[in-house]
Amino acid sequence: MSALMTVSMTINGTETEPVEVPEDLMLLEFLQEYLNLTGTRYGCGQGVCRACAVIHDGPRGPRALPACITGVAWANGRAFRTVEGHAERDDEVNVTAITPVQQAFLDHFSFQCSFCTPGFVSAAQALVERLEVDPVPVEDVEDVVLAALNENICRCTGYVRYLEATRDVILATPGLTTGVERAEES
Amino acid sequence: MDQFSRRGFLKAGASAAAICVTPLNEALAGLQNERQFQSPGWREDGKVRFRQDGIPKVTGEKVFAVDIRARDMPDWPDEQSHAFFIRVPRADRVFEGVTLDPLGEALQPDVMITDETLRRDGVEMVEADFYGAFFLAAGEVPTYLGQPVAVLIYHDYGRFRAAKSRLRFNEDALVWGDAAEPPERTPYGATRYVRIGGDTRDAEDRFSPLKNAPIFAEFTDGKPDWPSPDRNGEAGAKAMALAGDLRAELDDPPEGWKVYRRSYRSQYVDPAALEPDNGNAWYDSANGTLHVVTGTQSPWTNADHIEKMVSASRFELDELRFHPGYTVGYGQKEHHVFPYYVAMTALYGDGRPVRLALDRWEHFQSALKRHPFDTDITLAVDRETGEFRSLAADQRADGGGVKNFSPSVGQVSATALQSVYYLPKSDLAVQVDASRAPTAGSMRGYGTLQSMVAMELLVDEVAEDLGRDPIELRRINVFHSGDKNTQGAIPGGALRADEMLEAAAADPIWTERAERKKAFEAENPGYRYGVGFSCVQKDYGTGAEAALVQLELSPEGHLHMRHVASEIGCGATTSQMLMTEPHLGKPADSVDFAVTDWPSLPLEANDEPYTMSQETQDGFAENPRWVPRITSPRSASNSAYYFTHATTEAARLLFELGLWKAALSFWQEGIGGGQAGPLHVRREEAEWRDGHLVAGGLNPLPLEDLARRAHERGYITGVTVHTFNRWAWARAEFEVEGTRFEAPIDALSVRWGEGAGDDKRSAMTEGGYAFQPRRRVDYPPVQRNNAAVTYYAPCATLVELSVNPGSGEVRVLNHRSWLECGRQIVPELVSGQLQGGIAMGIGHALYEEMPLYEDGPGNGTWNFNRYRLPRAEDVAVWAQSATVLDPLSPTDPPKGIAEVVMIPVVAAIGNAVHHAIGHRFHRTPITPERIKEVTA
Amino acid sequence: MRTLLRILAGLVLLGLVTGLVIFFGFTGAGPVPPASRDLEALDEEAEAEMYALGEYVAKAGDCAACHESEDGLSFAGGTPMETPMGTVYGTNITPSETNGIGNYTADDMYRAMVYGIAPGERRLYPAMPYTSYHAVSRADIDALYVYLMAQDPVEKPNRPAEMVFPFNLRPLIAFWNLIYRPDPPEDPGPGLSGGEDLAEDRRGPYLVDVLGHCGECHTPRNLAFAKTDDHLGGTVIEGAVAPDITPQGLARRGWTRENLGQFLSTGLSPQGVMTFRMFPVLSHSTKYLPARDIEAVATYLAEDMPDPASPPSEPAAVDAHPEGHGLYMGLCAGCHGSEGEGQPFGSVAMVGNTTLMLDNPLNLQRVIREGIPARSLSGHLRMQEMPAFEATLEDSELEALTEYLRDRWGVGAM
Repeated sequence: MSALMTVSMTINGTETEPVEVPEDLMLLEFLQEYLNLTGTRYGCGQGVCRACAVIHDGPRGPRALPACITGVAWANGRAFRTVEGHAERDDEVNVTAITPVQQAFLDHFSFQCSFCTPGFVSAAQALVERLEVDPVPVEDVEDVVLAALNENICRCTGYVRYLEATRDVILATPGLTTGVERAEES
Repeated sequence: MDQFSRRGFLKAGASAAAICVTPLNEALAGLQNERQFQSPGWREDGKVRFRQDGIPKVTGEKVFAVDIRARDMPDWPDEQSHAFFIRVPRADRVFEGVTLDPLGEALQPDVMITDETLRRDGVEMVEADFYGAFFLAAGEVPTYLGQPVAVLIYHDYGRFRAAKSRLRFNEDALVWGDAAEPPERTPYGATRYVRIGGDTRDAEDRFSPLKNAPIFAEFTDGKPDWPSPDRNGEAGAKAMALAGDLRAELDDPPEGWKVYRRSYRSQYVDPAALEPDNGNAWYDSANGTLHVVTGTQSPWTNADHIEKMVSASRFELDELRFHPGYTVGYGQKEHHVFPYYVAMTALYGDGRPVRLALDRWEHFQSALKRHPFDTDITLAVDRETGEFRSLAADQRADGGGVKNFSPSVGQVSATALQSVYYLPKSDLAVQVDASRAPTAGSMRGYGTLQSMVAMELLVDEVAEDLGRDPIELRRINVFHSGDKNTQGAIPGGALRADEMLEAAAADPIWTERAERKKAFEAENPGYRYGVGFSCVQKDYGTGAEAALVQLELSPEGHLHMRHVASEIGCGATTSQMLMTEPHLGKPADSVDFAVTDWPSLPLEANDEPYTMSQETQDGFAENPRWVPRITSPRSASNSAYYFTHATTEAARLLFELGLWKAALSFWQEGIGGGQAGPLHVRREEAEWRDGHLVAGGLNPLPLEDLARRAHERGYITGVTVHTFNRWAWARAEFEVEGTRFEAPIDALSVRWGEGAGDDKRSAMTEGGYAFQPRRRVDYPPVQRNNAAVTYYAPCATLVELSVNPGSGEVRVLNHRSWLECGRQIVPELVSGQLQGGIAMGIGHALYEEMPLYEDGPGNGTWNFNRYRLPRAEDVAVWAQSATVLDPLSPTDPPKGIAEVVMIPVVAAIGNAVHHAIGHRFHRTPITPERIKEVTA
Repeated sequence: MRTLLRILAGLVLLGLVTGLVIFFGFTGAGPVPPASRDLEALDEEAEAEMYALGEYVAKAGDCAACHESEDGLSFAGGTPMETPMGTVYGTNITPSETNGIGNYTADDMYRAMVYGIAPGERRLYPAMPYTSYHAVSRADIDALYVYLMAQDPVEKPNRPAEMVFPFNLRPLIAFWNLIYRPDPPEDPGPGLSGGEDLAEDRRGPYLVDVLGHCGECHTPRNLAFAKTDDHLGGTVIEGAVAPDITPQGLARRGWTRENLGQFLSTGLSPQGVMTFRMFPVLSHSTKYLPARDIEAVATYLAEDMPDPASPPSEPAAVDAHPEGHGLYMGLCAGCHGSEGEGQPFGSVAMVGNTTLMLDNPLNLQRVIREGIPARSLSGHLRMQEMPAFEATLEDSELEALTEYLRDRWGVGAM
């Protein structure tokens, strides 16, 4: 068995209690088996399908990364957002408000089985936040959305409704795009 | 016999354990004392705004079985044990046993289960012929790659993961003996469909499977023994004689015929459901209760088999609590064997819940696959008219290590081969073999993708050879409403493939294809552009579709539904909630899905809907509580039509038997027949507007008032119905409150409102309901099984693509589809199915493939790195478009479309690649390597 | 670089006069042997035979690796080749008369391949490996000619080379040729066209040194960018190490003849996976070599090879490099294994990995920084994406991780 190490990290804004874990434990296992946060899903265990994507809030801004191949040895001391941390919740952890990305996924009927949905929520949210800092021209939005979500595998939906939802959030949110003004503003 | 006597010995006098199935989301909701209600804002302006299961899914709640840990389950202990399989990655030597030495002292399992353990305890797989035995026994040669030999249980996660990681990708725990061949296996089945039509399309068939019989072969030394041909013999002998004539005619065709013989090959595919096979179960020996959480498309069958399995063993079982999660399968979890391993493993959990969840390598190694087919087609075409004259086909499929649904996948493949065309005569033979490959099951398409893609590729080739436009040739031969299919059955309703052919023929992608090719290739030097088309129709349903639905109104007008439907992603739970609206003015307010305990309508079934004789059926049908089967497995395709029928009938009966009486009681209140007195009120005129019942200018009545009145007066406020369909609906006559009526259901119970009198109250003895024995029932005759299929949904797809002859990469630039699905319940769900099916079809056409045997997934080294799934960039995500044909009438039933949508795009891609580079591929997928072989 | 420029510039000035004499007298194309057969009068069967052979020559000669377009059109040109003197782009060798070689005769093709002289006396940069191809048999070139001329022409213009002064003056290549261009051998042998006549002992060298032109990358170059005598001794080219593939160099890093064969035919072996410019070599060339030729190549490369070293492993590195070990566990172990065992067919093992055993850490650092895209190797082998860690790792972290890896399983543990 591998050596043990004590880790603690910030998950959805809350610092975890230090806990002793195998040093080769993956972040996904930590979330699921130690924190019971199972919204981040295991799809392939090799970083290919991105069902396990979480947002890392690092010094270079938010970035989606695969939790199934990211070890706690690196995650230790860092901050992450999982799918459970996007919506606002009351004291009983019931959802009280969801994010524009989540709302758009609902409105567009973006998912079917929803196994990959947490990964798409993470990737789309990270994209939206990246565009807040670094907006792109309106005419590039579709390409940017495709590039940002192309790593996420979905077997049910054919991607159309995820990508359209993400595009619409970006076009509807002031400040994410440059260039041509949106019709409703002009 | 052996099992029977042992069971008698062990469990003499014991009755079956109680089975309680609660969907996982409800089991969890129970924890919060909540029932599943409509989400706030679910509907707006009469339109569904999002899926009923949308919010928990988008916020990362626990909705899948794979999300569940022991501490999540109410009443379970918190400590979670974990288990993993040991499997054989090869089948070329004698398996001598398992050694745990490589794990060292620190990583020894807390429990190991092998064949020996199960023998000792009398735990046997139910229907082992269908599912396979649990474990390969020591001393035997593996039957197939990936066969399980042991399960190891660990009571802590740290040692579990370390041990699993130690034994992953190696054979260190396996002790091997001498080299050996896997045992010889008898093929799973061979079937033949011979149809010789009459002189005209509408004349009676000379011979057909429906009129006469399909032919099933026995096997000698692995070869099918078809009956000896005899023109005057039994159906089988006669069929063989006629098939012989048909083949002879194709060998020596009449003047004017052109005969095409082509061979097609489709590949071995993993459905790649993203939720790997998994489950979590707790055997509470103190109370004799087994709790099972798992992902499955066949919850009722699972629960039934698990109860039988445990009851027959040395383990006590008084109650089984079975919780299917929301899941996903595309057939990969339909009648899959996994839930039985979950339940079996829990028996050895030392009182602790045990989680058995496959990683993706293991899922590839063991989960159900799509059958690869070799399809030889001989098609005779009239040179002058382009009409198809005669069709012969021989199909061979590989079913892998365990039988599962192999025989019927073969049958469905053969009966679909005709695609959308009328064939005056045909001889379709299919055989499915056993092999050492991991088992193939009933993946989306169920064999039809394999056969129709072959036919659709051939039709394009024929068109080119005859100098005809491929769509024009299709229109010449298209199947018309009222024509007989290759089984001799007349499909239900209007068949509208012809409309799609017309639309596609006029589409600019098709009419401008030559100009577009020229322009594209000039603009992109070196690239090749092509357009391809295909149109197919897919049957939906299983030929024994059964469902149960209960609807109940509270005095406040709250509508509660209990339903057998479960959620596999396609939105069945959303659509079924809506189906009460036409009759009851609103969707269900709350629901229980995936229900399998039905105290309100206890029924009996022999569950042999396909195989029993007419005599048996007639005998059983005398018993008003008998139905051919209780409920059928979940697939995306059967819910829309078959479940909708059941929900609609329940809603209609609740209205007609209860609410309508309540309405009349309002309208006829007062002297002279009240406000209705001067008017003539007809039930048919009644309809719902904004939650109010309106009819013939009478005062609109809110549902709440009707519900209250129905309760006050003891009218009917709840119904439970059972429905059965064998390519036609079972119909029965009932007498309720003195009124006789007929309905397309085969069992009914009712509940009277709170004001009901003592006589009625005393009749409500079963789950608060009163069983209403049918007076008469008409089940579709068993002969109807021979029809194979009668419900079809058509779909057509045009594809534009480009080929890079250097890299061999095919890029789908655009695609346009036409779909007919009757009346759409939720259009967004229909188009989502279409988009998703097309993506899966693109994967089948271009990327997805595995070797069957030693280099294939059975060796435990396959994952998504080399099983290439289509991604967003592969499916023309921004360019694609689709048209759903308008229904012919507002009463068109919704059709099951989730399977058909993935098929035409496959052949359309093959035909487009030919347009692009001039080569016809007869096998899928069309990989870069295969393209390069012909372009280099 | 500066020294090099100075020396070469000096050479140019000093040799100007004599140069002109040499230029016109000695550095053009040498003698061209007669065509192996009358290419104008091929019957269908002969043409098909030559086409098939030509296809194989093109693959063994790996034409497409440099002549493919950026997006993979086999011979449409555009692949950049970076040299210290500037960038040369592979040319369009489809039979387009405007943009390709549609006007070439078979003799023209021979002159281009063997002497580096294109029609119109245009001198090719030695990025075209004529110093390797100089020994290609005429029959092989004729077959290649038939094959290339049967391809679909692609109307894609060539991209001019972007060389720094004075290397942008093509005529000066004449002087380089004078010194560094070998003459074709008296008897180049039958080549691949000879079938069985190309004896086993000549087949390996012909495939490796001539058609395969392995030395163009793997042999160190001198200041004039000409290959030195340190044949296949390994060097840095185009920003990556082309490793030492001498028998000694290979054995030191644990290669066997069998592993070499496996690596060349599938792209994957216990030592690692094809990366950098070896990946196109696999895709266009080595994976198409039949078993016999793979065998010949591996046998030649492993000639008189010492016993291969066992995979090095130094567990003490874990404690010696806590930062590097932590980074490995956090960012690498998920795929490459906590004990460096890798995942079959998806992620290479660190144990026995050839890149870790190179003296120069360049390839290792580049792979970690830049990642490797997901791609198909051969058959059903397809590697997952190796993520790029450029945006994740600070320079010092990259350094720590590299040191740990090399000390744990690489050159530091040997």
